[in-house]
Amino acid sequence: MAKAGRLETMIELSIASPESSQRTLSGATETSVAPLLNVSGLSVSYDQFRALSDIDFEVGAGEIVAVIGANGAGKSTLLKSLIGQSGSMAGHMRFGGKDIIGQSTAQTIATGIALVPEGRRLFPSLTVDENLYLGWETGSGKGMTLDGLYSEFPLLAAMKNRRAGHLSGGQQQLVAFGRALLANPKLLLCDEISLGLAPKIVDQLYERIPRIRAQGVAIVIVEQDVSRALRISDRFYCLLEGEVSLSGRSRDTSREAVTHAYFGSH
Amino acid sequence: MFYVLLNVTVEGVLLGGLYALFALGLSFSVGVIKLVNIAHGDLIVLLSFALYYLTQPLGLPLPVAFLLLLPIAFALGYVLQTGLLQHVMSKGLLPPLLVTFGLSVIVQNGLLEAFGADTRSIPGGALQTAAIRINDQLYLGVLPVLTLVVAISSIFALDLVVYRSRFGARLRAVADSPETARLIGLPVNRIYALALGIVGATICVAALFLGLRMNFDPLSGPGRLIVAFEVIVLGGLGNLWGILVGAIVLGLAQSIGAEFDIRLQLLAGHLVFLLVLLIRPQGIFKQS
Repeated sequence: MAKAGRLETMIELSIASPESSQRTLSGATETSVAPLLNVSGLSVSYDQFRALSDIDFEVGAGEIVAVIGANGAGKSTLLKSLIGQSGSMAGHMRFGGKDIIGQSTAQTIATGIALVPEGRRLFPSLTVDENLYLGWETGSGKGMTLDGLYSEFPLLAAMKNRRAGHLSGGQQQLVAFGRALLANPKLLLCDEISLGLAPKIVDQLYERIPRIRAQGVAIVIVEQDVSRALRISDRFYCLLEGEVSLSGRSRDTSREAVTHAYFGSH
Repeated sequence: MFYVLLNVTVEGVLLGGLYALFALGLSFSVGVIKLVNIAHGDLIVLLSFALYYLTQPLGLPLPVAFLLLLPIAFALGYVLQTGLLQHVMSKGLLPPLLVTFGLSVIVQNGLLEAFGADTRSIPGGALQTAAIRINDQLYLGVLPVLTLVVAISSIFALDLVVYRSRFGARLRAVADSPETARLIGLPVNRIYALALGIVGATICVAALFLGLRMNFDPLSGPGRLIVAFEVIVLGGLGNLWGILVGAIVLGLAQSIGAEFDIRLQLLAGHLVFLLVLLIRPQGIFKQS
């Protein structure tokens, strides 16, 4: 069933777009083993609105992948659909060899995908410690513990008894990061982590990314700042109106190609 | 004169104990689930009838009947959430309100069918008349004192659950934002159901003391609902210890009103409620 459906989408794709060789699975040639996350033919709709159509998307183990695109291109929808929090979905989604489409968010998080949501989304009336505990509790339960996190991030330990709602934006973002890490993900999804933060704090946050990868965690970054996204990532996908307009290795990409894919040919 | 004043005050404070029990479950469902349960009073009366039925026709001792009903009440709350309210909660604030309104009508008419319109009470034996003598001028009824003690203990227990337990962190997370709770994989529907189970248990406690201290009939529910509403608005929405303060203020207003003229009892309570609403619309305690 799954194979047949995937084949259909591949055929549809190759008919639909002449440049499909560029669009499909650019990572597949580089990684000899099966990728950690494999999304093919993903479409997501909200009522009448189609937010994503026919997305093919891959992340290898320990890889950093950037997702760029204009507002409303479908970046956040893509991340939310990966943890089962978007509208009605069609297509295929495999994570670590397991089909995850239609799984509950709790199951998906327990199998190793965690999201740092756009706008932090902490529980303001809970303490930092409680916010972090909930992240650990909903995760796989293996690996990092609260104490482990506190010794790695002394800043978090210092504010563990403060209410999340009373923290600055940068502090909140650090807690949101910690909460996602405590779920012990194999794949960490970061949605606009620089939004509304001072550039210096954004730099500090981005310094963490390679360190997290060094622990074997693959990372997907959705970022408004295109040059920053391309600098830090191995590969990138550019979304335009719910479709992948360009993908490839981040350092091989020309500025012109990205600009064209970002804004479309108007 | 001094003892008249003292008696009125004591009576008001003790009445507040009963009103706090009425309000506890409603405050919890408003605070955690954001559910305004119009059937709250009717559910209290329903369980009072259940206790009446278990003790009178069936002849069970009251403590046994209560301990039997407590887990059933918890299950009732749980099932009410998973089987009914959960299906309308995503559709905005109004549908759950209407559903509980319908539930209120069903409970009232069901009770009328089953028990008729007669007024009942749960006989409490010696407990109902026992009094502690302070001096010749001042006696404290054992049952009203017990009501207040149980009300304070219940608030204390709920406070522990909400603010000192791991489950409480989940409750407050869901109360903060169910969307965010779903985003990090919390089982929001199950947490809601357990919360309404807790509400069911508090309703069972309220039903016991309603039945022991007052007469009730199938249509008594809305009166209890108004009391519960006034208490939680007076105390500040979602504030557990505010309930006790709000309940005592309401109890005092009613007992002072009744001292002038027994017909003024309810009116005095409503007037104080309106007055506080006018001066401090956020409640006596600000919501934390």
